[in-house]
Amino acid sequence: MTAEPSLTMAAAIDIGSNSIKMTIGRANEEGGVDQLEWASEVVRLGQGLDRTGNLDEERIEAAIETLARFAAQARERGVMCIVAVATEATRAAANGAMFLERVRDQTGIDVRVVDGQAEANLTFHGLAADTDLTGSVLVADIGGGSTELIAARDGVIQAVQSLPLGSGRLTERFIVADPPFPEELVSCEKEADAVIQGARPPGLLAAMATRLIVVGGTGEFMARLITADEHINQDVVRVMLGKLATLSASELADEIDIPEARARVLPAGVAIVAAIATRLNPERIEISRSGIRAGLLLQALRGEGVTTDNGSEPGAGSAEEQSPKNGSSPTGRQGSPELSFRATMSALIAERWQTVLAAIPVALAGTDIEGVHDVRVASRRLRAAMDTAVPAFPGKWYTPLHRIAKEITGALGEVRDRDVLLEALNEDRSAAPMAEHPGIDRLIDRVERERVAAREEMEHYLRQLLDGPLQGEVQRRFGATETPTGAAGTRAECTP
Amino acid sequence: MSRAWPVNDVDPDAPVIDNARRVLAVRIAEFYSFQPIVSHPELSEALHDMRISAKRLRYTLELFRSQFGKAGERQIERVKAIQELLGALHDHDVRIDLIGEELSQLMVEQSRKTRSDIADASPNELAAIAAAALRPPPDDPRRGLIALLGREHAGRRAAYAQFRELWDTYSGDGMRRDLVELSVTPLANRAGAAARISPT
Repeated sequence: MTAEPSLTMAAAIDIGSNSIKMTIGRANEEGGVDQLEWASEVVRLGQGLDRTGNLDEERIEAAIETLARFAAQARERGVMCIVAVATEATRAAANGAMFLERVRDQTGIDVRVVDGQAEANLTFHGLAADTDLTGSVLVADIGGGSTELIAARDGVIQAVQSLPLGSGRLTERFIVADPPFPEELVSCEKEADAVIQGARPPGLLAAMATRLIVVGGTGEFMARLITADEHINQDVVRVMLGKLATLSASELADEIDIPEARARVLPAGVAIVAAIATRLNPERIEISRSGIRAGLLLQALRGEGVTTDNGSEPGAGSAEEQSPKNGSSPTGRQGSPELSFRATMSALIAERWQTVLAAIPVALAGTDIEGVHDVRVASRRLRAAMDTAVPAFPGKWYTPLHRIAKEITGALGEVRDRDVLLEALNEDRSAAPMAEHPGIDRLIDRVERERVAAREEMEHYLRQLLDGPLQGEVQRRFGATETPTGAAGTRAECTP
Repeated sequence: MSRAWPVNDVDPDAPVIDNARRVLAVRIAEFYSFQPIVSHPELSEALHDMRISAKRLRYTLELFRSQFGKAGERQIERVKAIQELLGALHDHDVRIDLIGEELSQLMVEQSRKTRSDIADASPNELAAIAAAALRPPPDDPRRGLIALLGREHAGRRAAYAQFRELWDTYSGDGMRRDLVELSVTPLANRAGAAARISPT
């Protein structure tokens, strides 16, 4: 029976090199997402890609069949919004665009290709929702065709690296035997180490992270190989590799209840974990079920748009109104000198808008005069960023929010100036002789009257702003997020 | 209020540090264009414009603080200190204007009342009205406003002296040179610049 259509539910689909996975989630009252249902199919879309440069026709058919089934399942559950992203295999394949066109025609799902950066941002965004990311961490999302490494400190991404290193890829290159020979697993680990070492910028692992968090399928299935309370360290990973060299794919599939095709590539995934752990030497290795779909769901249920590989924002109005190229907002990465000015400013502006919007309710409450001051200061900082970034964005696209930023500073100025005046006058009065009080009181009365009028105007203006489309426009243009970790620039758009 | 000097050669696709230096160079030039008025405390409006320009310079340094590193932090402190003293000066100017306005208003009201009293008075009441006008009662609001005005002027002089002293100190310490160096020195050559992940 088909459930009632729900606007608070979404399905996130991730088309990877090994598997296509779907998670159905519902927005909860805390602003998070409750995951309700999962589906996974090992399609091996990336099979043969390294050799031919193309997605195999048979794999394409299998993928489309799976996506059609997932879409039907989601709609039956009452989902009105399906967000789907494709990662390494599709972005690397020469016929990737053709594949997506066929998916759209045959299933109605509008799939976005996300680059490694966006993939990492989404993954981190999802992880941050339910994991304490205090301190220095390295997140490893090991897929079939690529591995995303994210170095973060106190919940803020410091650097991201997408490596052409995946469990499917390594399996194809190095593993023939079933169970795999130990030497084959050693080759996988060596290759993984060489890719990590040779990557640019070359030292993501030198971020001195004390925790390694493994997410995605490899992490999830590794967890099934150990007891729930087992502390994972490098020795445990080594023992795990040893065990994997003794189990055939079908035995492993039975033991941890996964499809045999997925079991076949898991040893190579664990070899990648071993290589990373050896280089990083973390105090702890953790595993999380979270991944790119958790991030997608969070964003889909907040109604944000997608930024694709080239940074354009599909369906966002006229060409001039669309997000500029490279306009992604890698929040938390603006410290990187290598980033373009446009990307950095976009991230800064997103953050500063969020600060302004978060401070407005306090100013409106009127219980603390610092509330007005805080919004004013935040709006000035926002203006400083927006003034500076003018040359980086198309005028028509940029000007409306730039103008509002200026207006906010102005709207609060009249109130703030009088707050400061009243503070000074009252302080002076408290030290002045009684005979001077009538004159000072006269002045205080005047300023207080002016303040009441200014405050009325300010409140009217701010309420209008909050009730209007401002917050949505900020999200649409700069991908501002509410979390400090952010995944701005990797926004998700629903396929109804 | 003076408008910000435009930054014409920003390249949106170039690395942020290159553009940060370009923006900073313009903001430094804009700020130091006010140097000739530093020794003119009477130029309230120009000193206020200088404060706004200091604010723009500070916000630029803060905006790109991860690019400018520790050297940038030192400049932020300096510019902020100057901006705050110019802000205190401006606050005094605002209050001086306000008190002056109120005093004028009060005098107009009192004068109007005196004229009205005189118009309605009998000849034998005129002397008393004149005496009251010339010798205000102890609770006359003018007393407080005039005293306040005096304190504000004294406060302004002190604020200007503080600003001037700080300006001279920073000038002697090479603040302008340090700022300019920040706008041209390649990041890699500067200690304490934005943390970058180093190779293994």
